Amino acid sequence: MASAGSGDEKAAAAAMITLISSDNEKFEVTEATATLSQTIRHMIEDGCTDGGVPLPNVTSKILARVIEYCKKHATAAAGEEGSSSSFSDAAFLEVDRAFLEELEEFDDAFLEVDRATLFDLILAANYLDIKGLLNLTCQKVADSVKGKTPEQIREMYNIVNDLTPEEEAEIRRETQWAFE
Amino acid sequence: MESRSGHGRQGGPAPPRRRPNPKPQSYINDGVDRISGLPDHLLEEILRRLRCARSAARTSLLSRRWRHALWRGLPELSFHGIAAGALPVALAQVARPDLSLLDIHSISCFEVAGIASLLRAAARLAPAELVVSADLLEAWAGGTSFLSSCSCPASTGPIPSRWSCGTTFRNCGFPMTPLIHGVWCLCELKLGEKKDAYVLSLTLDGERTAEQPRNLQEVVQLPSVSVLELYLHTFWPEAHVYGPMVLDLMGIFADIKRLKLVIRDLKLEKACLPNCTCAQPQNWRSQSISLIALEVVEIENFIGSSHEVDFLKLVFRSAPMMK
Repeated sequence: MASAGSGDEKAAAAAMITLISSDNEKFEVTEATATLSQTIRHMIEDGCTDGGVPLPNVTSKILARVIEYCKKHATAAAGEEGSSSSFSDAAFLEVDRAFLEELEEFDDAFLEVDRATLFDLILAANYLDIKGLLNLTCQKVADSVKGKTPEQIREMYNIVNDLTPEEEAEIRRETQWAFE
Repeated sequence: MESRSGHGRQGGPAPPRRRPNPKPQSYINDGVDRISGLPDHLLEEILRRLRCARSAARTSLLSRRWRHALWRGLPELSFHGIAAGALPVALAQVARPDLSLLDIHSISCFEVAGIASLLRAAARLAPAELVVSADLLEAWAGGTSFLSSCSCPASTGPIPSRWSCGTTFRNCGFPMTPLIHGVWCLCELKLGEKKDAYVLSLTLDGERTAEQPRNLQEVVQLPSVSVLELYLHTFWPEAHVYGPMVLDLMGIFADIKRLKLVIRDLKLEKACLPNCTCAQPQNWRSQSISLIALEVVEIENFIGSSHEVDFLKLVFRSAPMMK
C-alpha cells in the first residue's frame, strides 16, 4: 500500500520523495503528500532530500500509517480544484460535501488503533509537524479522558498512582474548586 | 486505491454513513503507561482539547508526573460552572500570564465585591480574549469596578491593547437587567479598540421591566468612545421607537465620530401603544443635541418608518461634520 512507483499519481509530473524509516524501510511518496509534514517541507525547501529523508524517530509501521493519512489528506486538498471544472456549482458542492464526509469517515476509521499505536502516531505527528494529524490524535485522547474520574483515567492508561495519601489530600485541598 | 474518481456518485442523496467496526484493537491493554511518557507540551496539547479547566485540573491527582504539570500552563482556559467563591482561587493558580482566551461562565450570583475580586484575578492573566458571563446581585454596579480595573484609561493609562479587544461583559441576570431608556434594557456591553479609538458596542432589548431607568453612566464608567455600535432587539411583539433612547446615549457620548445601529426583529406587525415609554419624552423630535464630532451614521435594516426618518433628520440637523 505504501510502496512506490505504481504510476497512479499522474505520471512523472509529480516529484517523488523517498522517506526512510528508523528500521531502514524506504517509502516513495509524492511531494504533495510529503509536504503535509512541515518538517519535511523545510527539508525540501533547503534542498536536503537527495538520497532520501531519514526519519530516525519513526518506525516503518508508524510511517506507513502516517503516509496513509497524508495521502488521503493531500488528495483532499488537491482534489478540489482538479475536479470542479466539469461540474456545475451545485453538483460540485454535492461532491465536495460527500468528499468531506468521506474524509471524516476515513479519520474515524484511521483512529481505530490500539493505544500504543495512537501514542506513536502522536509522537510522529509532533516530530514530523503534521498539524491535522496531531489535532486528530490528541483530540481522540482528550475525548477518552473527558468526564472520567482520576481512577478511571489511571486504569485506562495504566498510570501508577505514586502519590502518598497525604499528597493526594493536599492536591484535593489546593484544587478543591475542581473537585466540588 | 486512493485515486478514486468522483464518477461513481450519480448525485442524489449521499449513501448512508457506514460506521467503522466498533471496538477493534483499542481495548487491548499491554499494561504500559504511554501517556505519562509524553513530553509536557504534548500532554498540554491533549489537556487543552478538553476545553475545560476543571477537567484539566483534576488530572493533577493522577500521579506525581501530572501533579505539577500541566493545566496551570494551558493557553486557553474555560472555567464553566464553578462557584463564585472558588473562581478567584482557581484563577490565582494559573501560572501563565498571557492567555489567549479566558472564558468564565459562572452559574452563581455575584456580589459586587466578588466580581471585583474575580476581575482583578482575571486582569493578572492579561488574556487576549476575555469572556465573562455572570449574574450580578446588584445589577451592573460591578461593571464599574470591572471596567476601571481593566480598561478604563482614567485609572490605568492606555488600555493594554491585547486585553481590550473582545472584552465582553454580559448580564444574564433577570430581572436585574438595567433599563437604559423607556423599554430598552442593556444586555451586553463590549468595549473594544480599533486604531487607537474606543469602540463601545451595546446590545439592547426592548423588554418591559418595572425597574427605574438608569443613566448608563451610573451603571458603568466608560472612557470617551469614538465609535458607538448599538444592536437593538425586540422580543415583545411590538415595534418600539428607538430614537429617544439613541439620542440619550449620544448625549452621553458626545464625542462619537461614528454611529452604527443594527436593528433586529423590528419588522413586527404591531406598533407599540401610543403612550409607550419608548417614545418619551413626547417632544423628542424637536430635541436639540450637539453632535460636533459625528461623521458617519450607519443603520442596518432601516425600514423607513416615520420615527426612523424623524430620528435621521434630527441627527443630520445636529451634526455639522457629517460626511
